[in-house]
Amino acid sequence: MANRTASRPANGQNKICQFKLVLLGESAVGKSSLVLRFVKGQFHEFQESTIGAAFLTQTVCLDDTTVKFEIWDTAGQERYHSLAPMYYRGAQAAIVVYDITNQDTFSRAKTWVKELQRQASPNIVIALAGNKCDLSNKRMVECEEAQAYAEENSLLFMETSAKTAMNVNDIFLAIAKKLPKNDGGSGGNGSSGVSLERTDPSSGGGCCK
Amino acid sequence: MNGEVLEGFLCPICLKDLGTITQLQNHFEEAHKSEDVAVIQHLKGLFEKAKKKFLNEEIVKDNLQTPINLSPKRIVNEKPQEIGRITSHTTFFKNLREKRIDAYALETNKLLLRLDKLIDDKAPMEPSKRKNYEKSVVPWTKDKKLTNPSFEPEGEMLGFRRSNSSGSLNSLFSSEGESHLRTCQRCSHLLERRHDQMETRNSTPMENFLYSRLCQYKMDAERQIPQVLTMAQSLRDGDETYSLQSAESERQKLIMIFDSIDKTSKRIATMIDEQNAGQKTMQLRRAIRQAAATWLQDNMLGLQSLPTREELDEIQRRKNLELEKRIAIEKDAMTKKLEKDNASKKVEIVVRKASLPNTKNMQDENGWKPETQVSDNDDPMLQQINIIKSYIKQAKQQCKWDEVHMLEENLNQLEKAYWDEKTKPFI
Repeated sequence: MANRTASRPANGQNKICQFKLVLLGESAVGKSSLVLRFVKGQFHEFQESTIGAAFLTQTVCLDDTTVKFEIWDTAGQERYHSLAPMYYRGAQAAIVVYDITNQDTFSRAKTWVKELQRQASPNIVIALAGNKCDLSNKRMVECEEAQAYAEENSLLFMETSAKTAMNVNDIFLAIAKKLPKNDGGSGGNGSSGVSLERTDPSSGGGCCK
Repeated sequence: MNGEVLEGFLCPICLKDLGTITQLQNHFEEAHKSEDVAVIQHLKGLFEKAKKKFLNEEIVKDNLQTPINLSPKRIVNEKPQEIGRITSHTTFFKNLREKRIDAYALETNKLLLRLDKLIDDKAPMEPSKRKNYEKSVVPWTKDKKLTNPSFEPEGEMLGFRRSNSSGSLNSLFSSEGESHLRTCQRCSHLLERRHDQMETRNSTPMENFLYSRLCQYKMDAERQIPQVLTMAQSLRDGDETYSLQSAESERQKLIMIFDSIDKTSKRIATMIDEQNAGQKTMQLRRAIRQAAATWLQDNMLGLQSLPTREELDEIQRRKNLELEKRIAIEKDAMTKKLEKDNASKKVEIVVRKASLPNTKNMQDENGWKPETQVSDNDDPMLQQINIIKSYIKQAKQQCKWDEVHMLEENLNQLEKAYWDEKTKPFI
């Protein structure tokens, strides 16, 4: 399983942590656009609908740590719902995306959060992203409402815009900061007190990738 | 008959000349009726043939025709000759052998039991008591009775022989306290035989030892060969994964192993036959050597030599040139494409570079996204499996090994999930 915090020494003190992150949310809320912005710095006005789950990687530097995101951008369409557990089950982080101009997508996002809380790893870092905030004139979901919901469920929360790149990198960086970056030598459970091994202890310790 | 030749219609029994065939036939039937019927029949046949010959020479034709007529029939009817009667004496031999082995084992065991008793710590050490004790364990027999062991009665065969020259030596222990044993030839033979058996069982013959070493060398070589071949190929391809020096040392190691195989197998073939092992053993040793030689031939021929330092430099120089050329071509193509894109002013795609305060954190060039090739498939799981496979291909092409690993892991999960789904009993 990919439930693994991999770190290895690189260039002196630098260590590399590898995290699996999954994007969930109703279709057409902008999951692929968010990732594409984060990974490639690009934005496609007419982003094609995702099939299955797309795979992307991106590396960010945090102080002395290099964090490599293994990103699974799942399809929002209902027919691909059965694939989602395959991707969130081993994930250390999830971004649940909704469209601020569409109240239904916010409800769907809540359902995803519930599903993650029930089915995913208990230590999964969940972020809630209210996307398309460049379209604030069409806003249907109030920022405060989402903020309150996020606080209740201890989720990271940001309103984002893949189009203008607002808060895109920030939300990924916030996740990276919140993820435990255990030192390989400390045996998996670092001072952060978060165990990544709980769901699948056989999936290797906190080191060696 | 003293050289005399009789001619005419002679009776074969009384040799009387009867003038004509009919007369001879009549005479024979009348005078010799009581004779053997077979003989008569035979003679009759002879007469018939003679008659034919005399009358119109038909017999010649007959003789010519007969074999021609018969030959195809004979070929058809002729079955492959079966093997004759076989008598197997193996069971008989085995029975005999078993009995003999049993007898030997029985006798030897009895002997050993007695020996055990004699050297038992509990046995009295005092000479007189000792003698009685020994006598109670083993009936003593006089020496002269034992001169010819084949005449020994069964019961005394295992007895310890009593010396009639010196009574004090009857004991298992001599006056000096050294242990010694007096036995009849038969018992001594049995004991020696057992000793030999134990020796053979516990000792490994030299050739076994050498052969197992030979096998070990072969295994070592088989492990080493691919390594050397990979290194040689890599050097020839101009890769810089291995240094010429390390390849040379690995190759040298392999050659040393080859040498050991050669030497060991030769030693087996030319081993001096101390135990008179016989024809078969010698044949086996030669076969071992032959096999080793063939193996060496097969494996050494495939072992290409390493490039020299000069050759290597040349290979690498050429490779670098090629690489530079390719990069130049790719760059050229890229510039052309960009120019073209700009010229056509693409409408639907707007690319904007993110402008963020924390861009310093990003390693944009590290962001990776494979192209998704959509396959026509109704099953989302199968579709996804195909997508991942195409991702893996792309990751491999771009030497994104981390990504290959992640994707392969996911592919495994998908395939397992798909399989579980398929094999799940229908509820």
